[in-house]
Amino acid sequence: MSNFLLEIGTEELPADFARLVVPQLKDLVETDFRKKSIRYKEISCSSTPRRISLCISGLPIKLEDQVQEIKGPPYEQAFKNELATPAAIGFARRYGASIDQLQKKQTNKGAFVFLSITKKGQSLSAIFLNDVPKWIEGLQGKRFMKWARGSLRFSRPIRWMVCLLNDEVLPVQLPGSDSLITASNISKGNRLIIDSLPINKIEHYVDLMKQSGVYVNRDSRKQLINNLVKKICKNSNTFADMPDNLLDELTDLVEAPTLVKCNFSDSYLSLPPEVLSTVMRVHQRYIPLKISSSEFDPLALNSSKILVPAFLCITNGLPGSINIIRKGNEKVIKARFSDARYFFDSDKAISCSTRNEKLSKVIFSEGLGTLTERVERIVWLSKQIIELLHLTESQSRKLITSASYSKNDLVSSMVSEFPELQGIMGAKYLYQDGFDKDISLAVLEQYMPKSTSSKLPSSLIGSLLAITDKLELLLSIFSKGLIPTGSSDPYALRRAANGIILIINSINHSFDLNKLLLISSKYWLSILPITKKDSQKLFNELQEFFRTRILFILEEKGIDNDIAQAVAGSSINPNRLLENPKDVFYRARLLNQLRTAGKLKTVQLVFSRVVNLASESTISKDLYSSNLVIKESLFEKESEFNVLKLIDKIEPIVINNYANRYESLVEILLSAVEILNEFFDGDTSVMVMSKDIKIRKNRLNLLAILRNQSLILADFNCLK
Amino acid sequence: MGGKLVHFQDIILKLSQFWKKQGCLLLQPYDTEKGAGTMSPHTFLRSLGPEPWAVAYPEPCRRPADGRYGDNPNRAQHYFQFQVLLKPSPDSIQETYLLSLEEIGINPKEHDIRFVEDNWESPTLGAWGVGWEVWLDGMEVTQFTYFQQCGGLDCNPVSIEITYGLERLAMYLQNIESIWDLSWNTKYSYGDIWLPFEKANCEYNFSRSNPEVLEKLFTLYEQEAKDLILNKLSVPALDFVLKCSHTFNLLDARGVISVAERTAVIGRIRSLAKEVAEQWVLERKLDSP
Repeated sequence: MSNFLLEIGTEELPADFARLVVPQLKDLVETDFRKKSIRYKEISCSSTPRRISLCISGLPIKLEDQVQEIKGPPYEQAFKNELATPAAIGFARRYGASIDQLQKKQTNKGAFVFLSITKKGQSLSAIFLNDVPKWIEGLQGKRFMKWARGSLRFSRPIRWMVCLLNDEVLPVQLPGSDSLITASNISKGNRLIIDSLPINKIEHYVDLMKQSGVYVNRDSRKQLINNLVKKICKNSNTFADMPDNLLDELTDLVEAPTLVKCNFSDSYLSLPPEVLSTVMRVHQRYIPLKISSSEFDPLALNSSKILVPAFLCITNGLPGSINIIRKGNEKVIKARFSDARYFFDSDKAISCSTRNEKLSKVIFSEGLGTLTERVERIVWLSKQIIELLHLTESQSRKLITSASYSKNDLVSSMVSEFPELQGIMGAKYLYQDGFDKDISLAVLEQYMPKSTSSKLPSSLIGSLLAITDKLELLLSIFSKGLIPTGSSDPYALRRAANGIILIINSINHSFDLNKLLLISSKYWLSILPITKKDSQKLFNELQEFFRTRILFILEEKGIDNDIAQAVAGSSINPNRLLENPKDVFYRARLLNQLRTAGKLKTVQLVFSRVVNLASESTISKDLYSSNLVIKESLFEKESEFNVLKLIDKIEPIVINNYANRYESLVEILLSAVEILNEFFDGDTSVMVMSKDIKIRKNRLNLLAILRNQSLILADFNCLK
Repeated sequence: MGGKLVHFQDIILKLSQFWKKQGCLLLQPYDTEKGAGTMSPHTFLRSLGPEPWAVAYPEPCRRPADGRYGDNPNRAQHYFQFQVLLKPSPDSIQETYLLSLEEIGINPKEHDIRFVEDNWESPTLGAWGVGWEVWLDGMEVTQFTYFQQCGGLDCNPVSIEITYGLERLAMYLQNIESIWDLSWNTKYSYGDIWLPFEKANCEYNFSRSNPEVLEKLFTLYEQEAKDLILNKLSVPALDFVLKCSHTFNLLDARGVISVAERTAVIGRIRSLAKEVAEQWVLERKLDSP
């Protein structure tokens, strides 16, 4: 058995690359080995800030010879009277074989000439020498760079490589690197401990590294940090504010983690917890410590009931230097916090109303006026929503007030310095100025959700304000003609539209997005002079944009693609789609459940037949009643009467908007399968495309009404 | 730490001596206002083209909007960088940099020194690179950048730029909490020398500058830069691009530049910088066929 070790030594890799490169490299090698039929016991990959490592165990000594059978010309062309023709001679020569090596074999297309050739198994060292550079070049990441005079691109400069096969050096070279890298057995330890570190045995690699101050195994390094943090929290009865992404980042910032507990003056607890945490976590990668029993209050102005005046710092320094390192980090946080206090104090000296006035000095975007104008448009949208949803007077007042003050913090010092605190500071400042709690919280929630899987606003006012904020952006940017294309979506309009759909799905009210888009498109073009569009075009563009977003979210929610197309695809009228987006999701789930229960297939088969034939009918798609278009006098068979009865039974279900109507519709469509099968193929079946035009039209209309009724649920023609 | 106090002027001196030993040209600050040492022609222009280059120089920087009338211990509208540019980037540049810290009295073994990803981009110069900010016990003391593009042109060979934040390093070495208390030499503090300048310039930057005049100046400087580019004089053209940039920063400090306008003006400066870079490369080709 053979073992293999590769270490790619680099200058400090970006933390997210060090994390994402590990599964990538493993994948590359596995795929390559699969293609080459190379067996192995285990492939393990890992990374530290300065290296990417790959260990493969249980490899064969060399690859087995491979016998390959090559198909030649048909036997009759290759041999005439048992003598080889030029066709056979040429075929044999191409593979360096003699005529007597050719074999005759029967195939289902007749007899052919075959040749078995043996490919010598390559040595593993030849494979690695050839493939290692390809693996490295195959790794991908953001913002790759070049260095010195080289042409090689990587995340950061590669400075050394260790490459061993069964403890022997494989001198792999990395073309395009400057200076040219040739692999050896010399690695580097922790900078502070040892520079040059020979690896003579693969099995000693991890231990040797540990002795040299490097925890090569990323998982155990992560575990180590987690344990250090947990232990100290347990001992001090505190709670570490360490989200997964912070733990991941810390793991990828150090080779030999040491924990240092640092303190700060409790006078800084007079600052809001989000401010202190942002400075600690985002700017310094420290772990804030919370009081175990604390309850989160998003409107809290100070941290005294939430945070402990201390933080944890995961360092890469030597344990003997902890005191110096602690002092340094404490000094840094002090400077950062005193900056933050300066911003907070200067913000508190100004009222939210005064700040609101300052918005008129800030341009939102060229042609779209100032932030004050953006706020006015948000207020206008709020008023439309109040009418659409018939909100109470108190709800209306709260929504309008929160909309009017929604952007007041954008001109605060705190948000200028920490843009990620927008909304959070606005809410606190409003609450401090005596505004209602619901209003303040709505301002906080207006930027939710941050992604399709993150938290949605919890209150109705917050949900509606969040919709107006996003819709204002969409309408304004679309009016400017900047519709997202491909990967270019600088205003994050897709995220905004996703957010609107998700929020509409989460609130108890039914929300007519279509009507809101229609009236808003008209309003926008009446107030914005920049665009030459007509409002119908703007409206249609927005409708289509929302359609693609609904399809995207359906897919994210695990709905089968064909079902998503059947409820929201291009065959579905966009007005219907957006009048009640929640309804679309409900129907998609219903169909998915039916499919899981195995009930969808039969309905789908017979209804796609209905839909196909119905396309020959000329009646309008919004006709659900048989009254005017079906003549019983033209019926010839009993099955026709039964279909008519079916339609008349479905009609009240589709035209009345009562609860559970989709369940009733599903029920009745399931029962329709038998009736329709009889109509198409049974003893009393009829020929739809009758030669008698009147009869044919009557039958087509019958099916068209049924199609229209089924469209209320979905377009069955889309189902696969 | 402990031991002898390292004065501000000693840090500049020691870094100069260190990089001289590494084979760098020692140059002096360039005489036009600028927001960063990168904007000096010794970096901006010399990072372009195939010729090797190694230079070190201290550089005063002006960022009008960062002024706090000397009230803030960590912020000023005028401060110093020590700038090193090496083309092509040498193999063991990180180790060399760590040695330079030792030279000024920071022993890496006693600290937590980390290279944390930070990709640098200058929208006004059309330049970007990848690298790190260097953390000394959590404090950012240096910016490390492998230049990938400058003035919109690909850098080949690639240079490494090292920018030391001198005040931060000095505050650390002198164990002092305010820029203004740093000792420049045995007799003068940083504040003795620079505080009157800071206060007066803040007064000008925030209150007394005349935005209308500044706007006119910007237009004049921009036109001058354009004319110089047309006349194939990249060096003086760069001076006027730098003047545009500084004038823009002065307008920004007055808060009269909106977000959208900002993007537009930065775009105008960038396209000038790009033309200067292209013209410079052309001139160098003519110089050395």
